[in-house]
Amino acid sequence: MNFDKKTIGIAASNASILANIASTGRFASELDAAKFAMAYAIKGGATFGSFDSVDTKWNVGSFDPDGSMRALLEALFPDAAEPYRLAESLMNEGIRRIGETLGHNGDFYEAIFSST
Amino acid sequence: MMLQIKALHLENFGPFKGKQVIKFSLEDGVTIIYGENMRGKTSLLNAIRFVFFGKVIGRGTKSMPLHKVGNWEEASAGRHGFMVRLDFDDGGHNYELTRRCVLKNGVSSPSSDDDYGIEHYLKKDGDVLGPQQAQAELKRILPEQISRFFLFDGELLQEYEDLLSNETDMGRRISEAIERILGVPILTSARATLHHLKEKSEHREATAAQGDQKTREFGNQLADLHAQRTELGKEIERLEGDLDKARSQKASLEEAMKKKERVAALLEKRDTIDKLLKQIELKRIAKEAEVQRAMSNAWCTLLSEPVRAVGKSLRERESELQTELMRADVLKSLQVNAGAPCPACMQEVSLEAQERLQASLHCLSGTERAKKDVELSNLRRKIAALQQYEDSGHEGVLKILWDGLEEILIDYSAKRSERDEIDKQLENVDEEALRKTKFDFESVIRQIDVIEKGIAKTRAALDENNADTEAIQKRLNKLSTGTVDSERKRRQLFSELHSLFKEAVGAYREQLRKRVEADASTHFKALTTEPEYAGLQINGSYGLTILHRDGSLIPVRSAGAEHVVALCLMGALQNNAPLRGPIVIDSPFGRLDRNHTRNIVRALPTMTKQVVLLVYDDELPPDLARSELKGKLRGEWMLERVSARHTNLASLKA
Amino acid sequence: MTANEESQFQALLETVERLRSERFSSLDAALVKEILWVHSNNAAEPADLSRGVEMAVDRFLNVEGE
Repeated sequence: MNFDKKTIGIAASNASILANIASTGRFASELDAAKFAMAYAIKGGATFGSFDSVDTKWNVGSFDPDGSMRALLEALFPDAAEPYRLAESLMNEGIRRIGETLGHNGDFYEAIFSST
Repeated sequence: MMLQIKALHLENFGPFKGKQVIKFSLEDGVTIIYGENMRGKTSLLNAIRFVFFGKVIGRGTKSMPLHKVGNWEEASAGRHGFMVRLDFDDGGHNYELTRRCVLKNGVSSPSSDDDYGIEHYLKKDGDVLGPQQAQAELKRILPEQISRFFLFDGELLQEYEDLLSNETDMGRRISEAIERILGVPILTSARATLHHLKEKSEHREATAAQGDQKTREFGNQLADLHAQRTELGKEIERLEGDLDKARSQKASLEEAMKKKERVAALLEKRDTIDKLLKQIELKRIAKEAEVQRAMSNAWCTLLSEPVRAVGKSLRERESELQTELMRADVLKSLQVNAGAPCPACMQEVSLEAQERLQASLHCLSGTERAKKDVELSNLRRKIAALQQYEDSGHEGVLKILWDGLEEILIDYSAKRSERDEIDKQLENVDEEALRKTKFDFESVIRQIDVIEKGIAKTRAALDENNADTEAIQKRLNKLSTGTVDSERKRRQLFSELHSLFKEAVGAYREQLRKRVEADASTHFKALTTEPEYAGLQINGSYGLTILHRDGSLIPVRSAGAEHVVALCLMGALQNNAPLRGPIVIDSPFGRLDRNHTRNIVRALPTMTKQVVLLVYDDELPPDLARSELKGKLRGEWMLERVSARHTNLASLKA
Repeated sequence: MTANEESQFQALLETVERLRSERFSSLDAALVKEILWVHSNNAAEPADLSRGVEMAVDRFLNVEGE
């Protein structure tokens, strides 16, 4: 039985950060921005985080239509039993980190590209 | 005989609080009134303007509202209104001209000209004249159009510069005013009368011809042509009236537009920037879309390194597993085929060797084997999954796109500030009014074009009419009947008289110009300090240009030179006009150096019999005036300050 | 007429008379002078001027005719 998450959500504390990122006009949607944040977290060395309360934003069908992301996560994190849960937490962690860097730095480009 | 002022009585006019009077000597010469700026010199000039024409001029040439003219101190004490009375002689009679501005009944706090009423009357030799008679007398004594040649305000030089160009509406009006005082209207009036009578006599002749059977047909044709001519004449008159109106409208719009030139330029710049902003916005949208497309895959790009690293280790593991499984297969086959030669080298495998092999090789059990198979197949699946992420673009490409977008945004922001700056400058501007002015200007130009074409067309029709009339007239002339003959004689006389006066107008104008030019040049040579100047040359609108002795014209003049030339014109006009009167000049020397000042002071008494100068000490030091004028200095007055809004007239000479 | 107006009239007359004798010698000098004099009255209305000139011309023609 698959206990993995069927939906992906954003923590309340991250909602405004995500909205800010999306509003810069650099991303076509919040979903794009969220995926980016997830990759940002992974590249930054995050493994697992914990975000208890999230507000559902997308179901996994829209998030990972062809399952390739799941395969990727499984490849990168072979120990993760629930790749989507992992994706959700990495995503939230990424958003949190970006928000933090933006707060210090201000420049979105600098924040995401120079630190990677 | 000429207009001579004797006394100017003021009551609460401008800074002249209470009742004050300034008296002028009746003997030929110069009266000087000294006063610092803002003391009331210009008010004195305005007092004379007010008493004659009911007008007061403020800054520039604008009319000042009368309710602002009364003395402020009196006004704050609740006493409003003012009066000016001028005592003068003209043509052997003495006159008293009074004009009073009084508060209307029931008004206690006036705020506009509507709160006041104007009373004026003219006394001639002690008797008060009726209003119409008074008006006629005043018009004859000092017509408003030419008052500028007697009440000379050095500050209003622009008017004289206008004379240099007949194109301006003002230039045309001034030269008409000059011609009026020089008598040209008498001739033009005679020309007009004779023209009218000539046409009338032609009509009489045609009527007479209609009355006689022999000449009836010609008479009828002529009558028709005359009627047509009258209509065409009316049409031209109407069109010329319209043209005049349109031209002066154009002049005032030009004036307005000139003032607003800077604003117009700003508006145009703003429009240009708006267009640019739109273009940049479009670029931004396109670039942004490009960036968004790139960014939706950016997450892959970010992960390409880790993915490569994991891929590498996965492949290593795959390779390990493969080797392991292959070895197991080999061993299995060895076990199964005991005694068989080695499948690799085809040699026999000894028992010892077999035992050694068994000990060292791990034999995979069925379940173990199956597990490894699964593991390998999973690995391969993961490797395949990772494959698509291994080559996901380069961060460098993203950077270029972002930089491109950044540039566009900076450009937009810069243009936006520029535009905001312009907006600030345009804050109080009435754009609507400006656009309307421009629109009106363009349409009045079109209108003028249409009218001019209409006039040309009508004139052509009139020419044709004249030609036809002449032809018929010739044929009529050949026929002779009693009444027609006498009418013809009358008509011919009027025609000749008309031609004579028509030519006389041109000849007289030419003569006048030459005389004015000669007189003005004489004055100029006495006033100028430059020996290389030969005199003045006059143009068609009485504008004067300085002539160098080598025959060339000096086109541009300083304000000081303008003063001198304008004075020469005034002197020449006084010489040639039937209207002789006092010249009252406010600040004549303000822009002149000492030598020019000296020359002018010396020359003034020769220009006219009575001169009044309104000056300040530095402009014309009293010593200089006294030494240059000597016996011709008839009076010296001082404008004494009592307070900021109260000046007293004090006589310096007993 | 004031003295100044008188001298201006003289100036005008001189010009007109010169032209008349040079190029319009068939015109009567006295008639021309009268027409000029009629117009030197600044306050006259155009209708009055016309009437004045017409009368002068007709008077002249009648005298001539006699």
